[in-house]
Amino acid sequence: MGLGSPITSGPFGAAGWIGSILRRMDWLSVAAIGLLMVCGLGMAWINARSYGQELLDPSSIFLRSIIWISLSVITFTVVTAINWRWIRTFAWPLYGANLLLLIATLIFGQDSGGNSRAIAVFGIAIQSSEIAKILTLVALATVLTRESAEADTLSNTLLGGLVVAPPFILVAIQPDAGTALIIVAALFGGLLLSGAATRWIAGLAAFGVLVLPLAWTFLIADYQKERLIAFIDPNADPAGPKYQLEQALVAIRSGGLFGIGFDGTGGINPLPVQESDFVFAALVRSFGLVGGLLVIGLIGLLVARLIWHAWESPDSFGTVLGGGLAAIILFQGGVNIAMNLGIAPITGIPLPFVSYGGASAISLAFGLGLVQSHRVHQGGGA
Amino acid sequence: MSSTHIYKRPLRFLAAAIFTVLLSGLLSARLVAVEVGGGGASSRDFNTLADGHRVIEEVIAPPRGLILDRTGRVLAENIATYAVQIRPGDLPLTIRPQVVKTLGEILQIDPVKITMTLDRATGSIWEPVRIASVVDEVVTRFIKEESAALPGVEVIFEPRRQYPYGELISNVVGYVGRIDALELSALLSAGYNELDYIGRAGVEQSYEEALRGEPGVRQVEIDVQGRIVRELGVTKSPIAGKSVVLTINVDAQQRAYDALAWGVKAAGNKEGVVTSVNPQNGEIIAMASLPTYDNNLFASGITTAQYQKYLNNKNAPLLNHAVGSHFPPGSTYKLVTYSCALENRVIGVDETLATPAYLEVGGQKFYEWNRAGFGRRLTPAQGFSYSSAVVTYQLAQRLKIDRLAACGRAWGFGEPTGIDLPTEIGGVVPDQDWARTTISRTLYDGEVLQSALGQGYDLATPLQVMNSFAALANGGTLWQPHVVLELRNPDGTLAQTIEPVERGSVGMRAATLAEMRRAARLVVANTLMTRNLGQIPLNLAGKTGTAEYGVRDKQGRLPYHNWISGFVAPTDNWSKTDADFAYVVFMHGSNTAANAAIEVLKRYLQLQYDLKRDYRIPGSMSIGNYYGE
Repeated sequence: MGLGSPITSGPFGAAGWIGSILRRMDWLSVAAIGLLMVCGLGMAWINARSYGQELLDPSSIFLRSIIWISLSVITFTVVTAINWRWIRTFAWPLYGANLLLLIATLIFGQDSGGNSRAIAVFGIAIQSSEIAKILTLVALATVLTRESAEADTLSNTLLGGLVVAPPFILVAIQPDAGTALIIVAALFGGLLLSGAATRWIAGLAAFGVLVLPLAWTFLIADYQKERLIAFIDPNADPAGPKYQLEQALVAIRSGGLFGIGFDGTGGINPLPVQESDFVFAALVRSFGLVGGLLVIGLIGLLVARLIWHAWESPDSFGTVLGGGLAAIILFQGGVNIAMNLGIAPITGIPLPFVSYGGASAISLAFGLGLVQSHRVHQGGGA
Repeated sequence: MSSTHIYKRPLRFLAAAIFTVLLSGLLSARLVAVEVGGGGASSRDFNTLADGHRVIEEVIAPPRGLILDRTGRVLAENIATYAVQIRPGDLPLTIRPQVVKTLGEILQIDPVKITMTLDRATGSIWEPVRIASVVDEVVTRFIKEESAALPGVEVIFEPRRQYPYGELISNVVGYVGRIDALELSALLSAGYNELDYIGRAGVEQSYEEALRGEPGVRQVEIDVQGRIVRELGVTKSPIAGKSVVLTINVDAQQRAYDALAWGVKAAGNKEGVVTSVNPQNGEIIAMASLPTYDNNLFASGITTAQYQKYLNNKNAPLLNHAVGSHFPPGSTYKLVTYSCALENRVIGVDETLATPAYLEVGGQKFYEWNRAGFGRRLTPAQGFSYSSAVVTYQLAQRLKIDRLAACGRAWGFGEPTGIDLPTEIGGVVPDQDWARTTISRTLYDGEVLQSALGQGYDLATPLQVMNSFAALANGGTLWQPHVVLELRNPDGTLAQTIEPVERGSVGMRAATLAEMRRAARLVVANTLMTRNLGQIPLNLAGKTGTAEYGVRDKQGRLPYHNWISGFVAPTDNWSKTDADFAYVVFMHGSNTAANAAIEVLKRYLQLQYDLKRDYRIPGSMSIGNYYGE
C-alpha cells in the first residue's frame, strides 16, 4: 500500500484520506497541545521583553520560539499523516543514530554551562537528550511488541530494560540526570500499561537500585558525580537552587488571581532561567492563579488522553507508546511545576511546550504525532 | 502480530488515571496555597509564609548638595560613575570561567585578574565583589544588554564628588571620604551607613549636615542571607542636600593663590598664606594656603602612596595654614601692644620715647632690631612705623604682662575666631596664669618684652592676625569670619543666609583706634621699612612682622617668617572705619633679602586692584638675611 492508509483508496481520493485523519484524530489532545503551545509563545513574548530583547531580533527568544513552535506543529502534522508502521520500521536505525548522536555529544558537545548536553549541527545547538527520550520510547514500543513478545515474561521486561539502558547511561553521564529519569519513567510507564508482570517490573527496579552503586564507582567520573549530587541534593550547592526557588515563590505570589498580565514585564527583574526551568512561576506571575491552574489542567488532560489511548489501543505498540508518553509528560510537567512550587528538587526539566527549547518541543511533537498516527492509521497489516 | 499479545490490566490504567488526577489536584492545591497564602499585597502575611523572610527598612542616601562660589560657579559637584561588581552567589561555579572570560573581554581586564579578585574576596557569597570602578557608560550598557549571559554580574551607579577647581580652593572646600567605623558608630542614629561618604575637611566637613540632606527610607524584603528579595516601597523620600554658596569668588581666590604661588616659588620657602576678608561683615574674600592638595584625588579614592606623600610633607599640605597652624605673629602683634598702651594711657599720643641701641633688663641687653637705634625720640605712632623694638619694650614695661595679655585677647588672640572651617586653633596669649599652669613658673621680665613683640610664647594663626586688623579697620568690631554666604535648596531657592556674627568688640576708644590706623598707614609710608609700598595708589595700611623661630644657624641667626597684615581704606581719611578689604600675608621660613610678605602683598594687590604697575622689587625674594621688621 501507499503512504496513506487503505482508506485513501476510493472515489474521494486525497480529500477522503485527509477527512478520515481529521475524523479519527483526538481533538482533545490537539486542543491541549495547541493551548500549551500558545502559553509557550505568550511566555516567550514576555520573557523576551523582560530580558530586554527586541522581539524580532534574530536572537530574540520570541522569534526563536515562533520558529520552534512552527517546526513542532509541522512535525506533529507530518508524523500524524505518515503511517506509524513506517516509522516503526525505522525504529532501530533511528535508535542507532540516536546513540551515535549521544556519543558525539559526549565527545564534542558543550553547552553554555560547560556540560556536554548539546551538540552543534549546522550551527544549531541540539540537545540530544531531548531527542533520545522519544526515540528510545519508540524503540521500546517496538521491542515490546515484536512478533514473539509475551508481555508478562521476564525476557520481555529484560529486553525493555536493555533497550533503555544505553541511552539512559549516555544521557546520565552528560550529565542530564533529569532527562535520564524521564527515560526511566517512559520505560516503567510503557511496561506497566502494556501488562508486564509486577514481579519483573519490581525486579528491574531492584536491579537498577543494586547496579547504581557499581555504576557510581566505575562508570561515572568525579565531576559528573558532583553534578548528580547537586541534582539529588540541591542543598549541596547552597547558593544557587534555594535562591532561585525563593525568587520563583515570590514571583508566584505576586501573580494574584489573574496575574500582572503582559504589562509591567519591563520593570520586573527576570527570574533565573525563567524561559525554561522557572517558566511556570513567570507564567503565574503574568497570568495569575487562573493561568497556573489552566496549565496544570492542560497537562493533566493530555496525560489522561494518552492513558485513554493506551487503553483503547488495539495493539501493544499503541499501549506502550501511549503509556510511555503519558509517563514522560506527567513526569516532566509534574516535576517542573512541583519544583516551581517548591515541592521538588530543582532540575533542568522543561515544562512541555511552555518552556523555551526547540529539541524538547519538536521531539514531544514527534511522539504525540506518532500517537495520533497510531489512532488514525488503524486497520491493515504492517 | 503483536495485537494478539495484548494483555491489559484494567487496574493499572485506573491507577494511572487516578494518579494523574491526584497529581494535578496536588499541584493545583499547592499553587492555590502558595498564591492565596502569600496574600498578594499584604507583606505581613507574606512574612509568616516565606520562611525566614523579613521586611527591613533601608536607608536611601540623598544626593549631596553642591558647593558654589559667590557667583554660582561650581566648586564641588556630583558626577555619575559606574562600577561593575560580581555577586559570587549568583554566578554558578560551572559557568564562571565563561562569564569571567566574556566580562574580561568587555572590560578589557585580564580574566585571570577577575578570577583572582573573586577568589580572594572574603565574606558572604552574596557580598558583591568589586571588579572595576569608573567604568564607561557605553560599557555598562553593553553589560546590561548581555545580562542573561552574565549571571551575577551587576552594574551599580556611584555618585562621586568632583572638584572642578581642585587645588585652587581645596583648603576651603575640603573633600569627602568613606565614613570610618568610629564615625559610623557616632553617626548611626543620624542615618549614616557604612557605605556613606562624609565631609573630611573644609566646608565639606563643617557644613556636612546641610550638604548631606535627609536620608530616605524604603522597605525591602530580605531573605535569610540578608539579600534583598524585593522592594516594598519608599516610606520616606530622601531630601537632597542643600547647596553651599561661599563668600569667596573664584576669581578673587585665583588672585590670592597666584600671588602666593609666585611668592613661595620666588622665595623657595614652600609654605605661606594669603587671605583677605571684608572687615565690615567678616566675609572671607579669598583664602590661599600653600602647599595644598588635590581634593579630586580623595574623591576618586586616593592611593596609599599619594596619601603618604601628603602626610610625610613637613609643610603639611592637608592643613589649611590660615586657620590650622599658628606661628609667632612677630611685629604684627605690636598692634596689640601700642593700642594697649594708648588705651591704658601709659603713654600719650604726642609723648616721645628715647631710642637707644638697646634696653638692659635684668642684666641682659635687649637690642633694637637694627642694633643701632634711631638716634631720636619717637612718638608711639612713629615707633610703630619704625617697628622699634626698644620703644615697644618701654611700653611693655609700663603695661606689665597681664594688661598686655588682656589687650591681646581683646583683639581676638588666644582663642579661635569661630570661622566656619574645621581644625581651627586658637594660638597662645601668654600671661602669668598661663605661665603658671603651662611652664610652672611666672614669666621673666625679658619674656614679657618678647611677648610685646609677638615673639617668645606668642602664637597666632594668620586668620587671627588678619581679624585683628579687620577689627582695626572697622572701628573695633570682631566679626566671626565666615566662608559661607548662604545655603540654597536643591531647587536653587534661598534656604538660609549666614548672618554675620559679632564675636565682640575690641573695647577701645575710637581715638585710640584712629591713632592706630594712622600709625598703620605710617608703616606703609615709611620707605625705610617698606620701601616703595607706599607708592601703591591705594589707601593701604598695615604692619609688617618678622618672627624668629626654630634653631640658630652657625652665625647664631634664627630662621624667620615674614608677615604683613592690614587693610585698604576707600579714602585717605584714617578716622573713618569704612574699609572693605583687610588682608594678611604670611611667608613661612622665608629667609629672603627683603620682607617676602611685602612682595607677595604687592603682587596680590596688583592682581586684586588691577594695578598697571608692578611694585615688586627685583632681587628682594633672593635668599638673604633680612632683619628689618
